[in-house]
Amino acid sequence: MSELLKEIADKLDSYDREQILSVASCVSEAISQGVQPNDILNNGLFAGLERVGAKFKMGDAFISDVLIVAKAINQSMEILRPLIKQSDIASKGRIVIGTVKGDLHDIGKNLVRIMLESAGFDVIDIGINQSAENFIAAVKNNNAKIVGLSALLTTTMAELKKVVSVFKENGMDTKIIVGGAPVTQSYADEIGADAYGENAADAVEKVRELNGG
Amino acid sequence: MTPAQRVSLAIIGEKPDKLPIIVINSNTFTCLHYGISIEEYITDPHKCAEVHIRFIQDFGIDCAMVAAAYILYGTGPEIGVHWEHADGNFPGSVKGIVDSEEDLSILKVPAKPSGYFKTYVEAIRLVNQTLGNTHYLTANVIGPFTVACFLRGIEQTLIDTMMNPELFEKLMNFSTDFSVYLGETIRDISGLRYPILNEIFLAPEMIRPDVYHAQIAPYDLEAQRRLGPNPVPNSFAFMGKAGDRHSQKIAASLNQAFFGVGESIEAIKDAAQGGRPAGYPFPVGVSGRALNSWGVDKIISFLKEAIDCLISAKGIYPSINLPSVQTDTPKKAREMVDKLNAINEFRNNYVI
Repeated sequence: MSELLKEIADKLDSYDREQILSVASCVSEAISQGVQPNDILNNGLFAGLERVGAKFKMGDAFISDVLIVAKAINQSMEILRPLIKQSDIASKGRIVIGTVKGDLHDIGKNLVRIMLESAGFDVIDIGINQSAENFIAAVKNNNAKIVGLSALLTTTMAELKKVVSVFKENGMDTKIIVGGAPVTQSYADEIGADAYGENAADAVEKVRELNGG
Repeated sequence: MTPAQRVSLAIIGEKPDKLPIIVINSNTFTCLHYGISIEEYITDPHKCAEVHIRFIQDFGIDCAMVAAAYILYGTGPEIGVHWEHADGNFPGSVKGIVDSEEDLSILKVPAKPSGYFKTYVEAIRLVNQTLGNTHYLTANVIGPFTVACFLRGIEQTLIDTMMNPELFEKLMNFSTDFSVYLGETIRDISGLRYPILNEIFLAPEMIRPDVYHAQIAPYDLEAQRRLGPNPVPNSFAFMGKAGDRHSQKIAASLNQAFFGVGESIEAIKDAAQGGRPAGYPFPVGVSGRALNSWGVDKIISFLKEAIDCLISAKGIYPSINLPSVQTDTPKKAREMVDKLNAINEFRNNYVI
């Protein structure tokens, strides 16, 4: 059975259209052989994405690769979802993510969402152009312990600082991770963020650390 | 030597009288500094042109991209793509309009410019009319792949390259016609000499360079051929050579040097192993983040170190690239004035 799960991960990591297209039938086969849906999810689908994510971090895979794999996983999830009780999926933690006010860019934020979900996090994506107040409301409403803020523009980078300040002024103990093209570790330190995600794969590692490892 | 001559010499690797200063995006700064609103900037070509002209003249800019942030011009509401207007910033496209082949079949290349695109072209014409003989003015002609991304949505377009190649090909065929229409309109109405094909979504981390060479480059070449006889440089495709990972990594370093990503002297040295970006001199870029967060001394010190290294060790006469002169508050705009003046003064006093 583990061979079948490895095959699923291999196919996702193949960068081959036919192989990726056959992932869904492989998932169906695993189900028919009695493999537990959670096993298929964690040790097949997510394992494949994790491999691609590691390559992405090293510069050997590209955003398009991650998106293609994520799409294939989504299609397989359509097969798995009816078989998995929500309570059987052990969430590793809940995080609110979004792009800050004034900024309409979301590719980076979407990639982070995809990779966090694949790493087992429950992600509440509040979208683009979001105010500090909206981030706070989403954190409170969803009882999230971590919030991820994204900004692509030089002119919206300052909004990251504002959101961090508003969280602190409101006495929130939410851990804050920031990222986006113009953002750096030193900027993250300067504005008092708890972590900086250099790219989507790095963001997942940092969120794991913020979540207690 | 005029600014245009200075840039032209640096592009072919020859020694200019002083190093050229090149600016790509400056829209939010120019709006704040010269006191016009974003709404005026995107709807009034005279105001848009006026602030560009003043900006270029006031800060010693040799090469500027007119209304650069508007990579979306022509592929926005003019053709049914919805723009969202963010508070205090420029609007953007948030969703494509091509969900299927049927959607694509309905789309038509416009016969003439309208809406925001008309404003854009007129602004370029006005700036070119005033500065076109002395300065090196460029403008974006959105490349076929970038047009496709605006029409289909970038994430889905990237996925299509592998998973739906038939639709991707049809989309790229249409997008090439569209890109040529954008380029012809800009060229014919504005009279601009140096338009560039802008494939802004071809950042090195976005897509496999070999996918670019196999599935996108042929369309870019086709658009360039049709927009000839003078080539329209494909400046933002930092993809290296097909099948050559080493050259692709050098091209990624050139992208870093051009946009000032991380302000890395090492990346600049790596990039110097390759050529110049199409249509530009070899760049020493200072990012918008650094321009906003660094003090004058740190900016000048970085420029001096990078330029000294390129000229003495490599024999390269670089440009000072400011890809993002952007500010979000009047206070930051005032600080930016000091920094731009310091950069201009440094450049004027730098002995090559």
